[in-house]
Amino acid sequence: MPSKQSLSAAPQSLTFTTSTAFRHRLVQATLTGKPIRITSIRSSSLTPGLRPHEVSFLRLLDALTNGGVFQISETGTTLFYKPGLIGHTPSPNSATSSASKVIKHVISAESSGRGVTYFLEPTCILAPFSKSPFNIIFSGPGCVTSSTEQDYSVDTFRTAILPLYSHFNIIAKLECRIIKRSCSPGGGGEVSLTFGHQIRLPPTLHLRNPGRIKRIRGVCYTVGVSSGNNQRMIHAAREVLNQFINDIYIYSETVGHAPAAENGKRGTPGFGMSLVATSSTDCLYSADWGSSTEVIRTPEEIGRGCALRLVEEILKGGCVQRIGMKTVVSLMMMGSEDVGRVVLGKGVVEEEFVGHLRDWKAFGCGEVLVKEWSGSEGLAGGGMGGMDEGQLISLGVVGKGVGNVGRKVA
Amino acid sequence: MPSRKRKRDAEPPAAGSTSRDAISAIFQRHFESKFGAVELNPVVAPRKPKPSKSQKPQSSDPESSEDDSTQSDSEEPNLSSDGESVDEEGEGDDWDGLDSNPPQPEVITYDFSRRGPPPSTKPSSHRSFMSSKPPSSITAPTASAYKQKQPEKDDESETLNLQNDLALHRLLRESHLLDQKTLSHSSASNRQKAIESRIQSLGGTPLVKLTNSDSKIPMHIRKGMAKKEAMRVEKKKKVARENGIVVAKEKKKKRERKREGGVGGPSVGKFKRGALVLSKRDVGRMRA
Repeated sequence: MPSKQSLSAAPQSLTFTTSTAFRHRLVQATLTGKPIRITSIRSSSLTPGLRPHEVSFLRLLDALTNGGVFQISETGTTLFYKPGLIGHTPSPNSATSSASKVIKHVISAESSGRGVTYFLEPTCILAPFSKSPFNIIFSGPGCVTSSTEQDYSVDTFRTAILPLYSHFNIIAKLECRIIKRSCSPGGGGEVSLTFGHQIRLPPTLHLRNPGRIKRIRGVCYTVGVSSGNNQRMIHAAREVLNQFINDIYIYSETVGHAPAAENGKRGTPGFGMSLVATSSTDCLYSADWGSSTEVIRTPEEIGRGCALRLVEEILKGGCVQRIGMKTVVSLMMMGSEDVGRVVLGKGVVEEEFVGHLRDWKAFGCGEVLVKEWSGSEGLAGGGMGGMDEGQLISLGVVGKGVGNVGRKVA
Repeated sequence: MPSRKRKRDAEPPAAGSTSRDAISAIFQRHFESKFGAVELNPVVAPRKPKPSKSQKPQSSDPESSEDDSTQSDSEEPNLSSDGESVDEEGEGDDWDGLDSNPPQPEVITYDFSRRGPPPSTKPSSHRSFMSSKPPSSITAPTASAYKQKQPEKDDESETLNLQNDLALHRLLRESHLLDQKTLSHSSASNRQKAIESRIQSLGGTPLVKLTNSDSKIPMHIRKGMAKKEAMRVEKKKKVARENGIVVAKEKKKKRERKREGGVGGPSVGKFKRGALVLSKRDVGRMRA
């Protein structure tokens, strides 16, 4: 058959349009090893083409992989990406020192609209399938550790996203350290990420019991403003949460001065809060809110708003919250050829998430079965006692069994 | 707990209301002085006096008539927080049903302003959450709690044993000072001796040295005494050696390196004429 021949001769590239799900499409392409072509990226916009943070992400991807090919058209509206092997190889002349294995990713000031978690999340999805451990330091004038309008904060990433990997037995040598805190815009923060647990194939996941909330923890931070704001935020958040649960503890972090921005200008001060609720079955729900330079928000508003967001997230139910969905599904897709199940709240399924599943299907590994989940009565550990009936769905995901290509088999 | 239940139901609704307010005010003040100001919501929606309900137990049980409003009041705040009392309430409803009256819906408002004890946040939990590692939700604290609990069981008997041991030791050590019949200190001086021996065993200075004229010997005489003592020891050794008697070996005293006087001197070598002079030994040590 001629079509098959052409397939084997030159690997056919998948074609996507527009800039939606940019990061995750690139991650999917890298994981499955399939080249992609993304066209009409903001072609009708006044500022067509790739945004600075997207270009920065491409640079990061280039640093994390070996032998990838990136072709961007002159206007920046078309991108061709042929993925390489995941895993950073240090240059041979400096191979002896361990410092050379650290990738330093400097984020430019233009991309400071997005938080550093924009880069952290997809990096961590790639990391388990890498040949070598990931050691990355994010810095530069565009490195924002606090939450922005579109991204959650690094605290939430560390306390709510990284623990998701423990469901897949990825536990060892994970570290995410905030070296310098910063707020958007302006940045100047510094975050180091160590992901030292590489696996051959993630195990099949069965998450069916959301359990009940047993503890709430949080981090409250001020950068360059009075630390009294921490107390105000915590007070306001506790006013909401104290009536539900006893075990609440919100830690406060104070940074005296915001890191200096470019040209020696003063950095942006700010504050914010990140809350994480843990259920009896180790499911996590998190919320995040911070100050903004456009809208004036009092610390009380932030604290109360953050607590309400957390309550909303818990209300949506399920075993995985919204911001953790893509991570979990990506790892399930890469898992062994078996049906893994995860129970989700109906509110978790949004347009973006459905698009993510469709993308997986386009990459040829999207066997997803959605069923109504009839409560968690029959399960040990106590569900909601039928209170969540009709609110949950069970998402069955068939793994592709690709796993880690680059890792040596022991 | 049937008796408690009856008490609750039997509480005279109208009579105790003023005294109850006063008492609850006292309780609130006490609570606020301890834990800070609290907004008190009405715990239980005002119940209608149910004549058939309140009269019956009074007639059947004489004990319940004694029960005053104070006691029932002191129980009331519990209602909001613990589940047991809610159960009680439910049971009460059942009991009401026996009365063949249509059961009145009873509205219970949970008062959330009062909480249980604050969560125990150990420094270890702070370390585990605020470290750069993702916080492991795998229940580590329970393991430690279990470990702590295990020895607690025989902890009491263990301490008792230790105490007895100590007493026995003391008795044996001081037995020569005790009266044989009564097993108590025969005289005041003996008691003092016993106390002094205890002090000495703990590393204290003997009383003789503190008070006697021994402590006031002039330095040069003391030096002479020490010299003489050393000479005597030397002589003894010599005699022993000559006669072939084996004597216990003396412990070698570790010689401390003499530092050049003063603070801030070099830790190695000597400072001479504005230059650090290193001996061969010093260099060798540094190389090693």
